[in-house]
Amino acid sequence: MAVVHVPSLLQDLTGGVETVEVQVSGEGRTSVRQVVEELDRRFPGFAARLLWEDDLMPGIAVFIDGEQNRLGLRAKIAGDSQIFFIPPVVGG
Amino acid sequence: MEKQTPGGRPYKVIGTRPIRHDGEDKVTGRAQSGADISFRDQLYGKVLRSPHPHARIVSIDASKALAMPGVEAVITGAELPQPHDRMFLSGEGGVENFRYVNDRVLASGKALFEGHPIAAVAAKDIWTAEEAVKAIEVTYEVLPAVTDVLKAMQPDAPLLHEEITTETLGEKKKESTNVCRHTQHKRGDVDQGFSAADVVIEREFTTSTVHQGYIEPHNATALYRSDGQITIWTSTQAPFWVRRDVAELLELPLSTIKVVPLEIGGGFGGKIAVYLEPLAVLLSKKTGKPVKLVMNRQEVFLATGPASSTATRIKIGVKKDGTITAAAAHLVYEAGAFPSNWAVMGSMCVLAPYKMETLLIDAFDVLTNTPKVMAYRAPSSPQAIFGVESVLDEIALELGMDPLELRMKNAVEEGDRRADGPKFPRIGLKETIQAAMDSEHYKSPAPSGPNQSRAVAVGFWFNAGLQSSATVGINMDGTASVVTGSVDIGGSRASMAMMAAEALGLKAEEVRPSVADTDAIGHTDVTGGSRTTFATGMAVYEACQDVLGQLKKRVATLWELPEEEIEFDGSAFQHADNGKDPMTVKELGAKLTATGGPVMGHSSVAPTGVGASFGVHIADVEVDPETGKVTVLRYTVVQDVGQAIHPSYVEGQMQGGAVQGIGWALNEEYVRNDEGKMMNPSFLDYRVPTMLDVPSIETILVEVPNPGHPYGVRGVGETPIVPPLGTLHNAIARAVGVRMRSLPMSPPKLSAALQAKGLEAIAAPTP
Amino acid sequence: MKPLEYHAPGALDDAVRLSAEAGASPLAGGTDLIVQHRMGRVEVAHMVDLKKIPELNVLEFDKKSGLRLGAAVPCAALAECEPIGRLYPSLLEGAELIGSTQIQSRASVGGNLCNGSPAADTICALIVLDAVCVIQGANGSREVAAKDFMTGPGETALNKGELLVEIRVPPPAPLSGNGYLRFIPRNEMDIAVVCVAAHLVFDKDRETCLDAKIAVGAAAPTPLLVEQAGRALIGSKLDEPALKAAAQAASKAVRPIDDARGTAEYRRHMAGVLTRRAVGMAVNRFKESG
Repeated sequence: MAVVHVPSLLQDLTGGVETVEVQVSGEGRTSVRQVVEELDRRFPGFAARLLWEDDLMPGIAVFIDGEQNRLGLRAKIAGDSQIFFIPPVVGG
Repeated sequence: MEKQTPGGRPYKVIGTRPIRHDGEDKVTGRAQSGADISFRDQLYGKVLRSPHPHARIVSIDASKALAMPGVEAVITGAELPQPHDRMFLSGEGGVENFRYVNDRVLASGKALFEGHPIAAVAAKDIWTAEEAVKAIEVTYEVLPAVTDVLKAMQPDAPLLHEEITTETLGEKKKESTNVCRHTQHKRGDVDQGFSAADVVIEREFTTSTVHQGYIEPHNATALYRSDGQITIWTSTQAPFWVRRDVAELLELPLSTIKVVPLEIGGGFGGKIAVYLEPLAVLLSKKTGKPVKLVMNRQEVFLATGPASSTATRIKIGVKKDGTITAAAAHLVYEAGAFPSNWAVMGSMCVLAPYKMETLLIDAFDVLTNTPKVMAYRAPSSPQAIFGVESVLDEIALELGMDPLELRMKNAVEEGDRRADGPKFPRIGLKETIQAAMDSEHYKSPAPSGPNQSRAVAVGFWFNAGLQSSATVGINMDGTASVVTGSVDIGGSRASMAMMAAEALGLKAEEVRPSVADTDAIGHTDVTGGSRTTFATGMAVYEACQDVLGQLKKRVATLWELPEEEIEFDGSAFQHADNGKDPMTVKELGAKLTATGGPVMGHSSVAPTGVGASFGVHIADVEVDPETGKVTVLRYTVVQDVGQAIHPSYVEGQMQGGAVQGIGWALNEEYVRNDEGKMMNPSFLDYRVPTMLDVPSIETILVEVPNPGHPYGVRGVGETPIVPPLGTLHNAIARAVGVRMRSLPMSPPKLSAALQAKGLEAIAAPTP
Repeated sequence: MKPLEYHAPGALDDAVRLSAEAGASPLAGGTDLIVQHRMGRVEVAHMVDLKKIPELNVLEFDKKSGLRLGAAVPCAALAECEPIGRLYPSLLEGAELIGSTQIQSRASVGGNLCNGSPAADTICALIVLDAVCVIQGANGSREVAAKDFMTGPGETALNKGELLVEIRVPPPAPLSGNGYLRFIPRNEMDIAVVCVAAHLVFDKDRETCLDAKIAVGAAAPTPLLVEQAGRALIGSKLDEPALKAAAQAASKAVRPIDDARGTAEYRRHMAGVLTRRAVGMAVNRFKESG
């Protein structure tokens, strides 16, 4: 099971639940998009708060196992992935 | 771990200290900076700026200016295409909306900060341009201004943008407000965490607006040719972003614009956004001539992008043994006149160095009638971590614990979760704290004279990856050229040449590094985020691998042996059991023509594997209790630098960052009057430290190689600005028993605090 | 910036005549004027360079009549004129604090006075040393005491068309010491938040203060000769009550403002702190002089 860490400002949708487990159909085949769709089914409104024009909301990146993945919704996850939706970093 | 190349060999070039390739030009002043560019028929531009922090622009009449001899064009916000919503990645790690870039470059409707560009003039010389700007008649309806972040949050505060409501994750509130964004990070039940603590300390902190203070003012020269092709010469950290921003603002294809980055006299995050470039292009389009604009220092202070002032509240709970059980942070960051993500960055840094089971971070970006805040070296981290390090210092005193022991006890390491969620890869905080504990400075007796003391603080920055391109060419004598799109601010030419030399088995002097314009190299993101040596270095490394692959084929041709049997051992190509003498890249140069022609390698990368960097600073200070003046007696920077490519420039980054942090802590601030106007827009009264204000900053390089980079590189440039704020604050508190909790700790403020406490009490400090 | 005319007369009369014209401004080192002009703070149509006029380049010392310092003599020249550092250390201290070494090669004490800044680094020393400013106008010359030379921020006793020609400083009393110090938040390249000069004359017992002058700068519209502070010291052996009284008198006499360099409250406090310290410097100078 992959684990999605629900952004705290979306935890109003999950009833305060911080992490949600999602079933991964096959190694390297499940995408972040499918994960978001699955979460949206379980917690209606989830996708609307996280997506913008068929992509992640500007200012939000997906981090899989500690690394930002630039493929965004198209990024693939593994069965034991830890998934975070947080802002990317640049710097000065 | 033995330091070695990916092939398992000891380094030959990396870790040495060759003279930098651009050194002579910079030392002699021969290097061409943006303001050195000139053309025969060039015009000079000048910007008319709002004298009011907040005002409605009722009318602009430029007829008198246009009638002046020598004045060739005037532009106003009306000349820019209509603002439109389009999000883009900016220097702050978040996103910006081009609607507001448009408005920032030339005001439309309202002036939102003192110095906001209202119009720009092109004239035959700078004197005429200056007089023409004065001749433009603008009618303003002055509006109440708000420059303080906490006041700007109040419901009755003057509103900057009617259309802006608070954005939380994917949700927009309905009411108009200056609070443009709310960010939150949460882990576990923080109340439970605090109730499990033996000691809980909660404090409030403020910091003032500060500027990067680079020596070279912003400049831009543009030529808009009659065939629609545009060239921009400018000093920027991000030539490809300048091209993108100008193209976006003027609705042009990228292929019509070439940006030529000239040598840059400092940036520190402040030379990422466009200010003058679009104006130079528009003025050149109107006149058909090259137009040059150069800011003066006052314009730099008023109308470029300083770092946020902040108001923060930090609460930390610990067990008697020092273990942190919970922490809460409430962060309010100045955004300036347009929406920003600075509090977002602060929220991700504030608790990053420490592990804890429960935490709660709330962060607010707040609009104010001040210039839009831009990146400044580890943007947002210093202000956030300042409060945490101060509270930890109080906790250490309360527990009677060594302040470094307390930090060691809670320090994050590989596998621990960052406050914003993801796990850290291999990091070197514990090694850095240990190195600080073992340092001669920390082991030496703390200064014990009256009003003297020693203190420490920790700092953190993520570092960035982004995208880079590089080409490596082998010259016909076997030396090499390296071309990247990364502007050289901190010695990157030297480090690129050294990494290429290491990869190719050459000497650093045998590699000629250069920085290309946007036509001559693939897309390369900003020189910033401490990413250049890491990411552009990785592109150089990969381009060298490309070169080596091609050269191996040439060797195979020469030796008439199968390619697979030939190996490059870091110095030369070898064949295991054939009698051939090894052949170096240098030797191969002369044989390129005979074996198939020139060899050039290239690479474009968007690397992951970025390594975060942590630092620990140690300061000894003395306070003059009568004047409130602080003397830094001794200062040491300890930092995990991954693998130092050129240790001198790594040390230079550590020293430079520390000095900027010391300035931030002690004297730097935007002083504003009741109308919200800046009273000190000059280097005379905006006091960055001079050489005489800091001791020689000592450095200790802790090398914990980053496994995400072939040479173990970690960004090093930003982290060192973070710890000085807390370090000096704590040292002053321990010296005189007064916790200022408000920056800068300038003589008037510190003196007032000491007088309030009573000078007698200072004689025997009880922090 | 509008175009301007540059004049470099070689004779004092010509300089006086040119300076009387509309939009004319005298120029010595230019370290204030050119910057102010460039920033649009002053508008100058004619810059009258005074550096070629012999009378403004005098630098000589006579045991009886004291120091003659031409208004255009650069600050850097003071260090090379031996008696100045020994007899008028407060003046040299001020001159050596104006800008950097490069600036001091251009900037003059005369210009420092004519700029009219209450924070000027040389004025307090000249006040406590009883210096006199020699002024030349179309109708002849006149003298103004250094303490009366500045009349407000940016304003001086000079009338339009008058030039400061030289500064005369009498020889200090045999048993005396003087010193100047300023407070700045940094250690260089700054302008005084408050500055104080002290000049003390001692009795033959080498302990009793016979005369004392304290001048405080940057804490009122003009530099102040604080007579009450001096009086608090006269007749004392510079013991704690006398020093405290002098410091309090200085703090009381100033009329400071809040600005980017410091608050009024802080300046008032610092006037007292620096008065004590300047007195200490003067005492040390006296003791060192044997």
